[in-house]
Amino acid sequence: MQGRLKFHAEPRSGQASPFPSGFRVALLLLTGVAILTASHLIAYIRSGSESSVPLTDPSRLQPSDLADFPSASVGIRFFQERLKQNPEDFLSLTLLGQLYLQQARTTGDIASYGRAEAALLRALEIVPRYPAGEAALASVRYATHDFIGALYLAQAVYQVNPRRTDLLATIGDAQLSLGQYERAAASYQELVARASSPSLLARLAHQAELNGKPDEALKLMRRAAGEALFNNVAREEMAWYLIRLGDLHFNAGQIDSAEEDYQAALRIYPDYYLGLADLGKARAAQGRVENAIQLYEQAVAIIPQPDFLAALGDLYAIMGRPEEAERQYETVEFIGTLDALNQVIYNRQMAMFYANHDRNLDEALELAARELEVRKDIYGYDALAWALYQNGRYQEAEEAMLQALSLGTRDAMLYYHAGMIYVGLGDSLRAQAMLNEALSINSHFDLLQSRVARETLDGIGATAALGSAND
Amino acid sequence: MKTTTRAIVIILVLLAMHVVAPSAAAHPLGNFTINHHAGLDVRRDAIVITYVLDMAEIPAFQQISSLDANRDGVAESDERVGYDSAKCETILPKLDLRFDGNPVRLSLLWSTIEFPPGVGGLSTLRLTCSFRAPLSSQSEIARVEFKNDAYAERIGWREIVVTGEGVWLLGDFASTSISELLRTYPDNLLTSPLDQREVTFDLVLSSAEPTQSAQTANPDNALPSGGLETSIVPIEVVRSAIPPALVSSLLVLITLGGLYYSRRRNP
Repeated sequence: MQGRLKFHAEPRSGQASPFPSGFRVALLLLTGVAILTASHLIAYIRSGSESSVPLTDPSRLQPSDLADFPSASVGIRFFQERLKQNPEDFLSLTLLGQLYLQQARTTGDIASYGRAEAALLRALEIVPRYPAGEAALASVRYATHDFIGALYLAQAVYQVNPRRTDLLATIGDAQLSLGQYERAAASYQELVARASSPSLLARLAHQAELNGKPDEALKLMRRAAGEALFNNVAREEMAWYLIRLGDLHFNAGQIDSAEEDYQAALRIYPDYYLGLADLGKARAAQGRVENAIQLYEQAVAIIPQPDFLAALGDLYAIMGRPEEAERQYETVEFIGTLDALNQVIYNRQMAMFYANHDRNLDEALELAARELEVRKDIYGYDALAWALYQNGRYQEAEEAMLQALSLGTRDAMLYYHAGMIYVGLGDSLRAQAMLNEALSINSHFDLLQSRVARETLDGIGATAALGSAND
Repeated sequence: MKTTTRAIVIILVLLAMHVVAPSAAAHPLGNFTINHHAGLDVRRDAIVITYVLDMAEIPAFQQISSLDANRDGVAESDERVGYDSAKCETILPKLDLRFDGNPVRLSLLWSTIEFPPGVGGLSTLRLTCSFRAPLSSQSEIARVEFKNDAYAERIGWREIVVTGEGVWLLGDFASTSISELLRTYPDNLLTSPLDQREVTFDLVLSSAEPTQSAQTANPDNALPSGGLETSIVPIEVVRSAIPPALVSSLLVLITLGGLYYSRRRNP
């Protein structure tokens, strides 16, 4: 005790220091000011989207531009070991849960969501209402498409912990997925006022995309990717930004730019299942079908996801390999019946698959209608409209389709569906307008459907020509 | 009738899930995993590899539908004639076994196929292949390398186990299967799936045979090698021993053994 006092007292005597006390105070103040300025500067640079450069040329991006972070599985093993030492370690359980969530996102393995949930629930059993645990749990609920559960949990926790902006992001995401667009916009706006981040910019880009502003969406997404690069995010995360950028390019019909983005994503994070499938999609649009097949086969070898299998099946069908196509389609159907989690997560993919491939049309309609009960977003209405159309119920299909188009989203698929519904209703003028719009937004919007769109348009044109010739 | 059978199957599966604890319920990484066990049984004149492939529901479905010639959703016994050996032959080139750096030719001894029920009574697939490579070493010590590249890109449990009979084995490897040949996977929250894709060890064909060999000496034959027993004690004691001389390796063994016993006696 005495020793400590002595230690503290010594510098105060002034004799040990070579500087006079006034100078020392000034020095201290100066250092303080310098540190403050520096930290503000760094914060400004980091948050200020003005200062980070939007990513305009992904083709120059190299793996060495990003630091190597240990993968989620390394972290998972580390915290598993800690938990074997102390099973009550709620911090390790929470971190383990977050890592499982990350692993599920980067590998596409939805079973990891179950593990994330189990770890987080165990942490919350030890320390009930632990905010970090509850926030991560809300993210898991969102990821497993329990949007209402995610929204309620995030709102409840956010009320008690108003400083946690991550909860606000989850609230906005859930609202967006549920079709509560105005509320989602308000949540995101509140986020904008409080903190900028690449992930927020990506959210705003998605919002702009839904609101029919593809150019603004692209601009925001380039900024998001640039900031992500500047913030030195992990490779898999950077790859995700590039893929989103590629999707925006693809949806705007800029296939070559999309291809570059996807390639950049695969360069920094090879064997990324999303990157392989998306590059396959771009190659198919470029007419390089054999290469597209190879890429989809690679993606499916990593993870047999329904939408990949369906796309691969379509490619086989185009190449005159009907048996292999059928095998992919059958696997899609099998996955749809597998278990509850698969059914929830792939619900919409399944409804669209059935409707697009003229299989189980009753079930397509049932799936779409059931999901719309809780999730009233534009793509929910689109799925219902398309399933109704395939079942020959054009009047109701039009009603749902108008809802799907209500935000003015510039998505070729939506316009294609609308066009076909008008064909069904016998309104060839509207049908023509809608189908033309679809093809002008992105003439390669879907491998099979864009062909149907073109053929239907030709058909309408021919009938019209015949009609005028008869007059 | 059909619904009752299905209901009974579901009830049985649910019961099994409760009785046999959570580990037996499903695959460690979900329903699209492909899981591997490679058990290397090293003998004086041959290496026998028991290779087990456990496919979860989705890959099993894909295999079964490729077998299902009459398209009734079931791979009947006549439809799967020859499937297991053909499948093992496609696995074979993905297994790389080297003896002192030189590739060794493996050949298929026998194979079996089963379709154990998985989630909700849906089929999973369990393929067992027994491969054999003859050994003829001039030197007393040889380096053995093994690599499993089958379904390298698919997630799943990948296990390699090494056991020996009548030989000394030095290296860093497991000699027991913690999944009991892919039959029970440990609690997957706290245990990450094994990801053992290769193994390297030294095989010592000493003229002075290890003591254990006498009792278990089994002539090379086609019997399945369980890989469950540890036939040689020193395997677990030495971790990552560096070859080349037999004498130094043995010295390390003796020293470690001595240390171990002296520590046990005076804690």
